[in-house]
Amino acid sequence: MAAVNPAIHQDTHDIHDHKPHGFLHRWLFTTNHKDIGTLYLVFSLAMFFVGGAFAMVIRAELFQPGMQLVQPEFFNEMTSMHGLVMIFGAIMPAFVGLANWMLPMMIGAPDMALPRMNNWSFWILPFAFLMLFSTMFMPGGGPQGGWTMYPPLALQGGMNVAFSIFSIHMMGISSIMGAINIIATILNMRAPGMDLLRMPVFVWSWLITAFLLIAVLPVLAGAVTMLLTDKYFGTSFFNAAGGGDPVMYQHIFWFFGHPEVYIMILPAFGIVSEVIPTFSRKPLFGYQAMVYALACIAFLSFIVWAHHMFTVGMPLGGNLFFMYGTMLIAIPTGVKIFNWVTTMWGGSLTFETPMLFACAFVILFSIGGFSGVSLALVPADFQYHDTFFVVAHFHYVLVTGAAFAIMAAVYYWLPKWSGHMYSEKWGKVHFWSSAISVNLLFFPQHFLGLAGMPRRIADYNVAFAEFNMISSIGGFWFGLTQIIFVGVIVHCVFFSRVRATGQVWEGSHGLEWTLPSPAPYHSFSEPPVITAGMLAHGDVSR
Amino acid sequence: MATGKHDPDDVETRRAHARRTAWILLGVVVLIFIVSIINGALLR
Repeated sequence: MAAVNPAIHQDTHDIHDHKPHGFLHRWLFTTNHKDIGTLYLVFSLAMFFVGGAFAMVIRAELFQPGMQLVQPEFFNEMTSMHGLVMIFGAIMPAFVGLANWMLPMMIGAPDMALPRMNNWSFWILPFAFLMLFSTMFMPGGGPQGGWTMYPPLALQGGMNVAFSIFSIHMMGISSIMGAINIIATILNMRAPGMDLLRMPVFVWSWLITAFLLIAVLPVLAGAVTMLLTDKYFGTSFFNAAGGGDPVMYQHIFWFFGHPEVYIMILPAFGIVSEVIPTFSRKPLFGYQAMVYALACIAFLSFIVWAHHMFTVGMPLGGNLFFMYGTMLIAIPTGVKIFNWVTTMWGGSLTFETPMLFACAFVILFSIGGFSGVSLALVPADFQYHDTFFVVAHFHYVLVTGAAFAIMAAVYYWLPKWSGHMYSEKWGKVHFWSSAISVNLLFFPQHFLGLAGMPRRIADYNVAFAEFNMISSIGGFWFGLTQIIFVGVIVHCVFFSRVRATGQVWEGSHGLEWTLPSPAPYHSFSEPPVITAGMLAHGDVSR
Repeated sequence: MATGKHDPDDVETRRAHARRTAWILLGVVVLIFIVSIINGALLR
């Protein structure tokens, strides 16, 4: 009789189709990719509202010139915390949640490759943010030096420096574990026949994003560790008085920071590349070009970091290198936008809520891209740097880009997750209200920046009053609109009586749509037989 | 092209490969962290 391998017994036991009993047992100790995906998504939604509340404080203070509601120190806390919470608490965990939910189903795997580490990487996050938020109640308040934490300003804080650095370490460890898990899953757990160039573009986008995370998060960890030792252990990495160089911090930080921008947008590209073909009822135009463009953008993201710091004064050769390198990124990005539009061209289009958000993404992200190209021009950047033009630029990229793609993804896959259809009417109300208000919020900020209004300033010249008032009204409107989003989700999950079919959308293709809706707790415990018609974008590998 | 149930041996082999991938990536992470600090010390 053959000996039983206890590890194998454990694995076969794990694929029984049952949920753990008890609320705490299920959500605290879960190793199921769908449960962990849900945890990530709920956490990120909560953080969207916390970070959004910080933004409301900023917009309320900027509603009129003069000091109205808060002290300048608290205003600086709000700008710093808003950035940290939205980047590390809202956008990134939302994409990781989507990856957890969808990647195993898209590649025909029974679960993530390392399920226990998956649980750990999520449960680090709430504690990291509790630690970050706790700094707001400490003597001296929370971090006030911006999310970039440039020395020497960031080091002038009180107790918050150590706490916020430790919380950033924890966020980084969480993201690194998530990225390792995603790479290990995609490289090792694909169903037979799911070759790399047959994978959905969303899977590709996450594979490339995960490599970016592995490459740059340790650099952020190194930068903030050096900040910590400068503050508490007497080193002088960035202290000019001790022979250090504060500008070097900016180089190291942005070596992380620029790829970080792509970490927040490549999965959005992947989502839009899933949504547009479905509602165009056509395969994605130029699948391989889309994959190569993703890889090209990821590579270029490593060699353009200093465009964030042209004004520190670099040699002419450096300025030219980083300017042209940055402008090069427009080429693979243009390939992607061309291919999305060409996918729609001649398609049998319908405009359900996910498609509306995806179309808005293509248009509004392009506006953010255009302002990015103008910021890449060194002489222009000397004028725009640290003004509201930059704020407008990156909010077009991150709100109408990343956040709109996340909303498209939620509407697109919610019926698969919950087994019910959401209210299309309220989804469209949410979309149109968001699309109008977000432009009211951010478009006037271009004009403010061009007129010279600096960012991260609590008070301003009366000449900027009108555009600030319009921007604030747009901000409150956009913030309130997101309550509709929560309402649509809650209604769909708990109250909707319209059952979703397995395929959900008429034009959807891919392994995840071969499963029933809601997707069973354990899926693909039997490996799927992959046929060309089942692939998201057709068989492009031969 | 496989059909039928996952072979437990196969799943375990894949997970073993995944663990090896994870350890290699962890090594890369630690290496990059150390190099970034050394870079900070040498270029300041």
